[in-house]
Amino acid sequence: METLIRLEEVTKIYGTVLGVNDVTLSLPPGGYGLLGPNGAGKSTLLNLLIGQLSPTRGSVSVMGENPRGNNRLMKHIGFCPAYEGMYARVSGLDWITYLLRLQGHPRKAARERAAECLEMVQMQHAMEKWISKYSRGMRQRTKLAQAIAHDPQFLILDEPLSGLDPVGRSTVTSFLKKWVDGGRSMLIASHVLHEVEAVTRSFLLISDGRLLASGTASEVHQMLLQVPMEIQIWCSDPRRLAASIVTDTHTHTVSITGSGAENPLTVSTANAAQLASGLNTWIPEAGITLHRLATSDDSLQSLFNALMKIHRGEM
Amino acid sequence: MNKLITSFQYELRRTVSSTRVLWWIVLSAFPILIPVLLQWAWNRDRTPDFREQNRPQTNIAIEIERSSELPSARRPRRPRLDDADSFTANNDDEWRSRRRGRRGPPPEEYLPTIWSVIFFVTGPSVCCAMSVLLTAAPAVASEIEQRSWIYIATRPYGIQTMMLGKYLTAVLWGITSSIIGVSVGLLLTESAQRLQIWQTLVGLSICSAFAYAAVYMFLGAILPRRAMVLCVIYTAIAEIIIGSFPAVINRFTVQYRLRALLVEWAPVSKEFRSNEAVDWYIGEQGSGNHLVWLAVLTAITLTLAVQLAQRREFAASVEGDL
Repeated sequence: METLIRLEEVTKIYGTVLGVNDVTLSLPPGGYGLLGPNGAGKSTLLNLLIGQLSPTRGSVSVMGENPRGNNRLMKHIGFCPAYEGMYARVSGLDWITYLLRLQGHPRKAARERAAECLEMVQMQHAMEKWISKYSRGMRQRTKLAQAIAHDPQFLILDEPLSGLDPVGRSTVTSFLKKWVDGGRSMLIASHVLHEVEAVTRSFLLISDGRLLASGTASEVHQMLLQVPMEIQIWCSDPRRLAASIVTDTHTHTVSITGSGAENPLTVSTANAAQLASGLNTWIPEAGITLHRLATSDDSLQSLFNALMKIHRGEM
Repeated sequence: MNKLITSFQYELRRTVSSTRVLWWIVLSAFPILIPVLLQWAWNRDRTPDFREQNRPQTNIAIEIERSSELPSARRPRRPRLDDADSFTANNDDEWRSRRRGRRGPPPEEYLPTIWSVIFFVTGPSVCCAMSVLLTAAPAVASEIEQRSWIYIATRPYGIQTMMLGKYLTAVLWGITSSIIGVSVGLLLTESAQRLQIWQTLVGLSICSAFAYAAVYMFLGAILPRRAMVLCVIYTAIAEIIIGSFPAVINRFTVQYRLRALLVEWAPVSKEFRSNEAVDWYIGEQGSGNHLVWLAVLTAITLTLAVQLAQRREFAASVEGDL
């Protein structure tokens, strides 16, 4: 298998809504994080990959085959959707056994494998209980167990860590990390960078249905630092600090609300890294005391906004 | 085949709930209660005491005569007897004869025909079709609404297997409710040739369940979110209204074929069979023809239902997160 995923000028339109917009992509086997804010087109992209949607334009290929209506390919793909949607009045063990039977496993082998997978996600204590009795975290782990039960080559996960408590998050994260380290492929969609970062080092950034960028974790962090962002600074003399900051060429705007030290200085900069190093010089030189420093917006969302502006040629 | 059996067993187990069992009992009660109540009403009419108690007195005619001479405000309430009744009420024998013709039990030679028709309407037509509708119509909708569709759709031949499993489950619910209802109903009613009637109704229940389940699954796959409404509208317009038209169009309905098979198989009287008016409702084709027609309809609608479910895009997305 040379190529895990190949998308060629893929566009998906639902009525008047653009789900995915002209995406071209080719990925070798491995672990990938698909990052994007809510409504970015992540789920549409995943649905195209599992063959539940057909592209309005372009072509989709997974492991060298068109996934739409491809029963053979479905044996090698494991999918964990973002929502629950499990049958309430059956036990987790029965449900996964049933799904394995649909994969063609004999009855006894299916039940044993289902129990084994539930144990892997630490659900052995509740696997005989009805799913309706499960907590959200337990349902999330059961969903993951059904995705890995038939031992797929390619695992596609949509927000797999949402709803998990810290212990569950750690369990699932280490399991997924082992999965990728074991040489198998995975695509994990999330809108939280650090969740994906703990599992894989390769990212795809998607927003408004467009694939904006791809790269490693350090490259994404570098991008984050270069994104225009708003920073608020609480210090002993905001006016004096503002006079220094405006000398920085990357500064877009500087504003001060009120005159006292309790009022923050708000700086909008095109290069947060440059501003941070500048502050290291200006603050000791002016004899100012720094009380607090904070970014007022979500950094990943800022990155997406900036990338969208770059994509449109506005920056 | 193993997958299909697994799906059928799983679906059957899932559908067994207190609500479903209650519906099953209610629907099974149709072919029991209606014929039993009808027979009870006939037997009540046949009781001599009842006749005597309800026999009109000869003075009714006199009262009518007198009351007509009074001003309208003072007139006693007019008995509900037409002129002919009041005129002949004096003749007990003739009155008895008329009453027997109107409300008494039918002649015994007509009972197999009457019971066959009544059990056909209450069993395979109502009980079986309704039971199948409740299970088959929401086959696609229920999976989409509870968002369990994607887990099945990402399995090899998952949708096909699930649809066929649900189809067989619907058929089983329909057949059992109709056959049990008809069997108990027949045991509680009096008629000659009950075994032949029972065999006919079992056959018709099976035909009805297979055909209606396929049709309802097809309709449910066309419009999953309004599946029940669509199926009820179809039943009312196509099966009941169009199916009752004395015209060629009624031949495209399941009801027409089932009715025709009823007349072919059931011990109905010669007069009923040779009635010209009945001809429009049952046709002159043989039972083999009707069975082939039902089999073809079932195969086509079921295949279309599975293909529609397989090909339509039921996206696995959280609402608003496309």
